[in-house]
Amino acid sequence: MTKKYAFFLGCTTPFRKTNYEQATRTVCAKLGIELVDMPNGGCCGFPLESVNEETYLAMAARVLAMAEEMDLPVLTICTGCSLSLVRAKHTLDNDDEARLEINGVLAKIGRRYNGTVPAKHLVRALVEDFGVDNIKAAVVKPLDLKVCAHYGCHLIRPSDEVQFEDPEDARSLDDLIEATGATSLDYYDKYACCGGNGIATFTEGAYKMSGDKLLSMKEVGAQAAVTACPFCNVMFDTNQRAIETAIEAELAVPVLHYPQLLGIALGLDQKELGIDKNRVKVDPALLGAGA
Amino acid sequence: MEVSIKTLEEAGRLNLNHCFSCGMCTGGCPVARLDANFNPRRFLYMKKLGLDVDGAIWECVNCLTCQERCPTKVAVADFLNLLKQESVKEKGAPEWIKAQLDNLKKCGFVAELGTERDNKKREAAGLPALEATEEIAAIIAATGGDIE
Repeated sequence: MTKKYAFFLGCTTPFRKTNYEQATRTVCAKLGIELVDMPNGGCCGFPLESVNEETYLAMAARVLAMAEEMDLPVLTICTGCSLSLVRAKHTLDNDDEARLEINGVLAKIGRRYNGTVPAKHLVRALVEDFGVDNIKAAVVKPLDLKVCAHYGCHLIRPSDEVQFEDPEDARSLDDLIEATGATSLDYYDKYACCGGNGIATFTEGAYKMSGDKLLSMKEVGAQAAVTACPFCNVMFDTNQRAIETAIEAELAVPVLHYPQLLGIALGLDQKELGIDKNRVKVDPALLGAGA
Repeated sequence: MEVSIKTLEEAGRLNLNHCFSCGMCTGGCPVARLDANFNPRRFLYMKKLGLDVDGAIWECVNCLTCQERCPTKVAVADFLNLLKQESVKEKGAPEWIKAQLDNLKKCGFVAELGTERDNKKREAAGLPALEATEEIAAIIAATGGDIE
């Protein structure tokens, strides 16, 4: 069952959410999932999608071409990177003209896109390649914890291109959470956006979107929020204090990257999972011993 | 590669005329909920009439809910993204994108790697160093992605 991936970090994770990267590496090592680094992976192209279609496509195709050279599927842990690569693949595999043109651009950097490897987000790789039952079997410390799942828009939408699950009734992250023994609570507007993409242009609105979600989680009694994207985590965790000020309410909702939650259930050390770097402090007692 | 609302409509990949102004896009939009000036239904209608789209298109958070829920499968989020691309061509890019573009040209990441500060932090956390790449700058130059 050994799985091996080209590990694409993107930009937000390696610069701003090293705890997410730590937790992912630690958990994957424990599960026997091999991650091969792409140290010069750079950016997936997502930030330039709203600037120039060709620039975006060529940047995403470059990442896929690099993974092809490694003969490995791409593993992403950012939902933005994930959709960026999945969409580019969808376009390039279905549009010969676009593919020809993008390969003309890639030729200038000595690369070529052939369409031979898929790109998967960690959540999808765990569900489809590793298996929820196998995760259950690997759990040594079942968690007695109530949490709320936040999917991240780009993991589930647009469903006709992502082709993963029903975006109005997604279960993947809930299933992965429940595999740890924790309870995944339903809450208002569960599949709504964190607002992260509007942080520069619509700051107050973005805070309100995150704030509304965190309040809804609190209302149903969540002891923590669980994210699957570094930028959603920036919004919920890094910006939680600013959000509290903006919405004039106390939140104090700890926010865990999914592999942090899983890591605890696998009996791993909290420090190895980077939990000490979470901005909203997580009470070690909440996660049991092992701090 | 010419990609615009016009070329996509001609290629049959974006059918603004399938929009019958039902408002599902706007009803589900988390931005419209907070700012009445952000109204995807109106943006679609104005474009169909050949008018300039006013309104704060950069407030769009790209959550794709509008696209997901459109009953006639109009790619509403893609349409909003193309409005942003048009706006960049006509009025230039917002400052925050320019800052990201500068970093992308320098090191291939949207954050700045030049100081090595980040790699020191990564080393302390037991994470492998990141390497700058000039390939992104080459792609930006070759595709006309450099903007003022």
